[in-house]
Amino acid sequence: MGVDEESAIKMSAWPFTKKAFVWAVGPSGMAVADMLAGFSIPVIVFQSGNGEAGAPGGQAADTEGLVSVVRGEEILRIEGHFGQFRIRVREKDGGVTEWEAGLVLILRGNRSPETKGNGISLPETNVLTIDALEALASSGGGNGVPESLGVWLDPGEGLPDRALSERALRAVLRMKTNGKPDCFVLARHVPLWGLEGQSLYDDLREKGVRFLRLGAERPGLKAADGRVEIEVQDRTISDQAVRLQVDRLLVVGQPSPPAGAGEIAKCVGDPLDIEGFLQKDNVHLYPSRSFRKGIYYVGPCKGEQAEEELVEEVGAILPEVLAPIASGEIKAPEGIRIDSGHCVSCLTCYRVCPHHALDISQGPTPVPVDPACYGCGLCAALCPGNAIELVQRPGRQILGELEDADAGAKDTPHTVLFCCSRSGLGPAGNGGEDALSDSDQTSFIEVPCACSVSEEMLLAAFLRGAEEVVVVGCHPDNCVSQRGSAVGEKRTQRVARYLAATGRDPGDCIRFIAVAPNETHRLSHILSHLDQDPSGPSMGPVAVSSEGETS
Amino acid sequence: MKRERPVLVLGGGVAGLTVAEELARNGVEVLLLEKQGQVGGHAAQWACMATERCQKCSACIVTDLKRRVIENPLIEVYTGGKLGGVSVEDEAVKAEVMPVSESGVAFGEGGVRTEGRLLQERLAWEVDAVFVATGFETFPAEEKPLLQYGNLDAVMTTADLDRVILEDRFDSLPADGIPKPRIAFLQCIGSRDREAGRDYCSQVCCKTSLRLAARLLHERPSWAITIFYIDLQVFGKGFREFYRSLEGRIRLVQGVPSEVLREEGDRASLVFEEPARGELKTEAFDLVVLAVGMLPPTDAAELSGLLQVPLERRGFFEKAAGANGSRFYTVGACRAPTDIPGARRQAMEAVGRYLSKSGA
Repeated sequence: MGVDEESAIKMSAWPFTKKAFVWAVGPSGMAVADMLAGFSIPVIVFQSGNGEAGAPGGQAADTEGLVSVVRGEEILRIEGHFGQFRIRVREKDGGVTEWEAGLVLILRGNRSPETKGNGISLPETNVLTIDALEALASSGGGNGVPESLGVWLDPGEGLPDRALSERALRAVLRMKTNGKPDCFVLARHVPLWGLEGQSLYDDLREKGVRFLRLGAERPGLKAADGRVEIEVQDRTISDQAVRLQVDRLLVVGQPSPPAGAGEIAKCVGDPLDIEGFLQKDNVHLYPSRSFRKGIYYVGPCKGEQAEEELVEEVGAILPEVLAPIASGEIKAPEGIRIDSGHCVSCLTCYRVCPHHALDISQGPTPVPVDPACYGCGLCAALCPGNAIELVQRPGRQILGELEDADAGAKDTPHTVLFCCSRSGLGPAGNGGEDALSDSDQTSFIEVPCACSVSEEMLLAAFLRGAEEVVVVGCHPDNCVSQRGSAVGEKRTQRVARYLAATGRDPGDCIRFIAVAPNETHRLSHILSHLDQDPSGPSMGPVAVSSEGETS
Repeated sequence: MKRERPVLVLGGGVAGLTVAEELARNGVEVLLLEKQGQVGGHAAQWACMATERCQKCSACIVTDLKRRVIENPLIEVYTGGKLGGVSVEDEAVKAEVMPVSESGVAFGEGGVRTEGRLLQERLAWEVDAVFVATGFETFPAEEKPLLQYGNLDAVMTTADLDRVILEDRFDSLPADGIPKPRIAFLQCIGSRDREAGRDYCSQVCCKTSLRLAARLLHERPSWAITIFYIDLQVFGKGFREFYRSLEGRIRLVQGVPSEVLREEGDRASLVFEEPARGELKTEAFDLVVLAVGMLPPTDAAELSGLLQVPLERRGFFEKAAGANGSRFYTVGACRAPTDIPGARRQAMEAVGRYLSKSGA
């Protein structure tokens, strides 16, 4: 866990030997580059398309010694790994250049549709954008400030973009210090961001801004006499119909994923999240990691976020990158070994690894990349040639432990649990004083990931007398290796089918359970109920240690 | 050129544990001081909210984090202790730490179970920097007597319900075993109260209640759940999609009843305005869950005085450094209500700032 003295020395001796590559659109790329440069990290900022700053043709333009700007058409691939990425850029003339960096930050905003794109058609003169509103607010009143203004927060589900809503409402507050405009806020849910959200709302009301509470039905909108007529059922006063007219209307919609999110994700080799934003929605990746070590997503491309969060999350990357990019090398334990005698160069491992920990550029046999490897064993599990072995916890070691675990318990009916080191092992041994532990009837076998439980292991457990075999993995979408738990579950089902084919009821003796590391009581409960299932024949006592029993 | 002095982290919740681990990852020795007997803070008492899939509550992160910190050779975990005094000198911060038992709390045998080393006596530590990660307090629901918390078994807080789920004791809930029981969540209890000086949204309670509702429905599909709210704060990665998945499965009522009435059979009833008709309505519930907000830590004023780091008007710590410059850092919920990922982000960011300063 700790970093040795040598790398601590190197880290304290700036400058860094590796650069950060910022893949950005628009001016915020320079802001992030400056932030990193503020920590003495050299930065390459890539901006696609044409622009003023930077020299064409992929030539870096040295700005402040630490920051270089690179322009090109698009990024084709991100090869390599944490500490040694190679970013291939397609130039305008079709040529390809390659840039080296120790880490990659992908910076994007999101798309927050205002007025247009929300199914609202009003004349241009009646609508207002947030930028325009802010410009009016800072003009100090006077020309252009409408007499009356409507602000409609999310015409969809009533869940507007919080950051944009806050900008709009703050601009209204600034304008109201000069009296104008008469302002009506239409909202189902008023978004309150941070400690100051409520006082912003209170201040607006004090300044005479009226909040109209919407229900599920949309207000009626129409242009009339150069103004906008709004008809709305106000929920705060018992569904009274309110009709009002405003000069301008501003609509704040829900944020949606940035343009090109799919291509960016493909370039990284990551999935998108459930709403189509960058970064898979997996708590182990938060705040800004990808499934590939050393590649980070920053900014609202991951979903809605406040402006100050961007500054925080860039800083939050530092503790895990400073030492590696200072020393220029990443010390990582050996993850897997590939037996070239068994490898048929099918590249399955390369395709299935969520962490991009295999290098296929060095010959017919893929080469493991330790700094990128999480040691989950997904590659080993899915290798058709059985050519891959986990170094930290090889399959034969687990098989050996199975033998040891069962040696003393051969005569009593017992349960063998294969526990994923990231989830199932929590309840089974490292979850504090309530943790379940080995007993005469229960053996816990640690596995790196549910996917590293092979059919051979499951069958071996039965052959050595287990009454029941349980694979304990992660809840869907919680697996650090994305698909590891799902693969583990599939294999468990496969063995269940083998057993069914031999005439044994798999419902009685094999199952997959998804738990979190803090679900000691739930796992214990499930285990203690296994033998009480009235639907099947009794399988003998399946006990857990008394500490783990729940009331 | 190893750093001569360790870094002191006050508080062993999510933020403090994250600070400790991130410092140790970079070779910095850490003294972590927790006033309770165990580390993990509030989050260690929170349950996993997974239904058919993970609901991103992040509570699972804490279990592993706690274990890694306790096992880390660069981190010394002290429990049952607090800061007694501090002075800043040219090269170092001198911190005096004292056992909480001096204030009458009993640990160890016959008392609270402990982790790490129980602080037994006053010690003087010379440290390079101090990270304040003292977290938050949940709003004491007893302070609103009309809500009957403590008087009526059918009334509990979101924290209580989390504990019930963590311990897998669904059958202990007053609503369990009744055909089609009715559950109500009351939002903003202790939050958004201008008169009480708490004019802020606690940021996490709407998500907490929606996740708890989903978890209850996963376990007991026949339960009827109503959430009484002011403004639902349904934000964050993937959360709108989660909200959609609950559509039609829970009832949402705008407006939070301010009183819980005792009904026959110790049920609770709530008076509220029926949104469709605008009439007052009384409904009985078998379980009323109070979504209690987050308050500044109780010892914030004391610590603020010792460290000369100012508090903002509601009693939370100002961000980062006070009069003593860069040697003090504030992170996590002691700075403002935040969720687990937010506390971790702040902790990592502050460590980044510390490292880049001290490494140069």
